[in-house]
Amino acid sequence: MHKPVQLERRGVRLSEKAKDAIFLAVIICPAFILLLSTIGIPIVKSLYMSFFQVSLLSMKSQVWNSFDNYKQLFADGDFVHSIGVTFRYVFSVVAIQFVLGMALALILNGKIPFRRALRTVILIPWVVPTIIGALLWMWLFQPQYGVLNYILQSLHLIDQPLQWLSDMQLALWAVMLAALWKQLPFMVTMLLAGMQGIPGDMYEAATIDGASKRQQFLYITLPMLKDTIKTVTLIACIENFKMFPLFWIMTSGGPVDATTTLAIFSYKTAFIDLDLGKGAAIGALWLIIMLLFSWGYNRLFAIGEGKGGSAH
Amino acid sequence: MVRKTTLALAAVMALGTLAACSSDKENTPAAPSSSSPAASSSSDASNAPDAGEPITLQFASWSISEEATKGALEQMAQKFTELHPNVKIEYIGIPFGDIKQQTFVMASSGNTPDIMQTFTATFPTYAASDIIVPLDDLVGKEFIDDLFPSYKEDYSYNGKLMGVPWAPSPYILYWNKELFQKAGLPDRAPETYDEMLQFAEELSKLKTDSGEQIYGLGEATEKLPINGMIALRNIYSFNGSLFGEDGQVNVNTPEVIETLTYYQTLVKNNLSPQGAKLKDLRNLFSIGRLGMYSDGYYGRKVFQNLSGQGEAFDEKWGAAMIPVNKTGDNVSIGEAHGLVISKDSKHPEMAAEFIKFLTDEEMISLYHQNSDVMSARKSISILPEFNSTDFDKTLVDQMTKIKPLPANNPGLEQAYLEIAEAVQKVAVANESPEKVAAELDAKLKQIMK
Repeated sequence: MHKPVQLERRGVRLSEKAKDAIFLAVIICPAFILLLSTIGIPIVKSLYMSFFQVSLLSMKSQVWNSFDNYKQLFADGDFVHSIGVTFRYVFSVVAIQFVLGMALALILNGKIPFRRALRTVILIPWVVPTIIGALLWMWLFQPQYGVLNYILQSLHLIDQPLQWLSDMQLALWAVMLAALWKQLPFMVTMLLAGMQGIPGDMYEAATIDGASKRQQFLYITLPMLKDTIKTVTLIACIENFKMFPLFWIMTSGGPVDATTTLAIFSYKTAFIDLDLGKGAAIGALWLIIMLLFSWGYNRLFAIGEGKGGSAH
Repeated sequence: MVRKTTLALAAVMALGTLAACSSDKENTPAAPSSSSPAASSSSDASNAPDAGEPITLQFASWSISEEATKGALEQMAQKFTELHPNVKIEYIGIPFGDIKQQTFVMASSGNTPDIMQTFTATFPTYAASDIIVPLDDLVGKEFIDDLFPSYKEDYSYNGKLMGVPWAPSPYILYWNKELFQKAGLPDRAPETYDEMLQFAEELSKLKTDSGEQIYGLGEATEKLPINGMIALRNIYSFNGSLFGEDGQVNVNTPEVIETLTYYQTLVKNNLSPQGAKLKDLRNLFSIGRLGMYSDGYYGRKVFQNLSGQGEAFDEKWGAAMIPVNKTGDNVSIGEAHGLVISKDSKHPEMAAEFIKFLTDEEMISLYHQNSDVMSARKSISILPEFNSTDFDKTLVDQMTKIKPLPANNPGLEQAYLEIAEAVQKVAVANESPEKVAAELDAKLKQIMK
């Protein structure tokens, strides 16, 4: 029941519910203002700019260009190509990262010697800044004096040095390798934390019932990790959708356009070609793609929910 | 009590956020208005170079961030301040690869440095923008007439001088004497392209002591505007051009196809490293894994540093003019680090004074001693100190055989990038030179219309 606002001689007296609402509004206010000014306004501004001819060459004239930024994007094929590269990169990295991460988490969750030390050591790539990691991998991949080619040639696995970052077929895989090295610790840590939250008696009961290790993994570990997997893979997807430093430092989107992702394409358009309008249009389309992806992703993980438990 | 404290804290944070936003808002419009073009172009007494008011000139430069040139630049600024005690030169160090992007972003918020360093491949973008001012009146006719015509053209747009060529250099051929000797080649640089390719094949048969490959002839094939510009040197050598006889863009020609085939052959036959940047070629040359490559005056100092041998390494290489190809002459291109003045500058006259100071005999001599920099001024380049060594003479001789770059055009930098991509397509993706030339032709016609 709502209490009516009571008016007194000295002013307005508010109900407890109204006071709560004001209290909540006030404590949310700083965060809301911060988000609005750092995310909301730039998004609106970017959407606005995407309909105009805006160039850093001449910031004083901004002319409405009849959706020309969007028309150009679909006409020249580079945009569609960069979407393809982005999805290929994201799905490959997240899938490999998930499989390797799960395997490593299972190992580290078991009773192995130096378990604590290994759990710490595995975090090292994660704490190395991405830019430093990119530079390190660039040197490892250097075709003429990089250590990777040296090792492969010493082991007689290759005759000629591989052009890791300037070969049309290899470049994307080389960047993926660096991304995996950098991001795997996060995946392992999150999955391991999830595994440690699963009650041990469930495994004991399953063992008594005669379940094999494989069955325990499929019917206890995986279902119990569902929320963790959903969160961690979503974070990995977002992280890789917007991945910029690895690509920019290692390949700058090349050779030709073999590693030009949406992040690289939008940066090049906005800050190399100085065409902010077209860059904003890429950003706007990218936002729509991400919204669709998130919607699809949530739908995928909603399958089976609310049906009263699993089938087995 | 807790609730009251929380509310007070929240109010402070909200006010703080608002204050931060509002202070930004207040600052942003103020910058352009206080440094509007009208204000900056007015030549009242306060803008005169000899006015006694304290002046700070901001100078965005990559050279100040580089160890090899930092000292010389600091010395120049100090000497200028001795001459003009009211003027302080404030360097803003920005890496070479970021300077264009960063200065344009600074310009969009009205915070453009007074003077900006640029170079030939990216200058067209500045020239076609509204962030710099013409320099004809600021530097004067006498100064302009003293510039080498090709460099003057490279820094002009629509008939006006928009930038000053500061540190010019022709591209010359560097060759490794030790590797030549090891390969049984004569102790001289190749004189023709055919001979250069023949030498490159011999050099590429060599291995280092630890069995690593040695490349005969390096060409930069990374997709960068500068590499597109450098590719023009080869197009010119094959007697090609970006334009047909009617003055319209035409690169779907036998000469351009031949140039692209040349790049493809070099990489396919392992004579040149694949997808290399200029800095990769400098590295390889300095560690004795590259027989020949073309570069500007920067070579000597870079080799000294990268080889770890200092001046002792000077004995191990030679410099020569670009070999003769289809034109019958040692054709090359020239590039120059240039200086432009921002439209937002409150002291364009003083900025011009500083630029003239940087390019005068004393300062260029200082820069030449420090980094082999040449002068784009005719009266200075003939002086004995710029012609004292064989290396100097090669640079000066090559400067007389420079073919001008295309006239500045809003799309020229993008055109250079497309040329670099075309080179990469044939050299790295192994696409057909005929197909790539046709695609490049269509793109350049669109970009440079």
